[in-house]
Amino acid sequence: MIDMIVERKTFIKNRIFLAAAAPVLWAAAWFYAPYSQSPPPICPLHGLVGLPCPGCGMTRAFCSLAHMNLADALRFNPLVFLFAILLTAGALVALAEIVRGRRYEFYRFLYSVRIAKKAAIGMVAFHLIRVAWFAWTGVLYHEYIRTSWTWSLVEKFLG
Amino acid sequence: MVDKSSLPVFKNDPIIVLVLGIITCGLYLIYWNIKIAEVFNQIEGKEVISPVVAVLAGCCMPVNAYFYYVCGQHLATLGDLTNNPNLKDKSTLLLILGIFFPMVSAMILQGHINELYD
Repeated sequence: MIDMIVERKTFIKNRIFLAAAAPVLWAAAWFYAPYSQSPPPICPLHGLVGLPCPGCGMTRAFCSLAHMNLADALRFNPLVFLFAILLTAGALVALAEIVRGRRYEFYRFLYSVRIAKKAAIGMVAFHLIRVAWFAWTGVLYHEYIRTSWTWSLVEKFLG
Repeated sequence: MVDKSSLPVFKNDPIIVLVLGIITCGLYLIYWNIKIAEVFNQIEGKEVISPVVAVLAGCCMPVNAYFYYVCGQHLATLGDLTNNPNLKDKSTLLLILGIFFPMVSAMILQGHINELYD
């Protein structure tokens, strides 16, 4: 009996956390948007190597999406739409679970190694295409390599 | 207690994790995250870390920090398995390092995972 009460409490606590995560993150992105558009590189990968990681631009994309600026969100990182859908759907499902008082199977896919491996392959393909596109359009050189810490050091010492 | 021989083998030099993480622009860490999730799920004998979240962690910093936080919570079980009573919950340390130096968190975790196979 006590176990059931503890389990029920944990269930409600987790679902409240999940349901609250989406509005909190959307609000944070909305308020942070003015400060996010031209940040200095704080990412160690960008700073040291001058290359983007698969999540590069996600903060700016999320902030743009919070202001319903879809074009900018797509330009910064198209993966943001996937995250936004998962985040919002997760919160809605959690809310429904609290109201109905029972678990849904929605989260099962999160524990599938097969789906994880497919998602990883998709992510790698997306990243390689993105970096190739950046290299083709010159974004890689102007917005990544030239703004890296390593480039600044080289410029400083070699003039 | 989980039988150590049933655990998936994922032994790497932490320096290799760092080097591969950098030269593949973080792509190696996506694979690494999935493997770590598999190892921790086996250690605990239940699903404690989602492999899909592990993939998403590879491309979103807050999710990555959360991933390391969850891994840190299960280090104590790993300590029990490796007879290392000094190995305790390091979730806060890994969370903070996961925000600022994710590769350092990965190296720390890999170091502890390696103890399983010594």
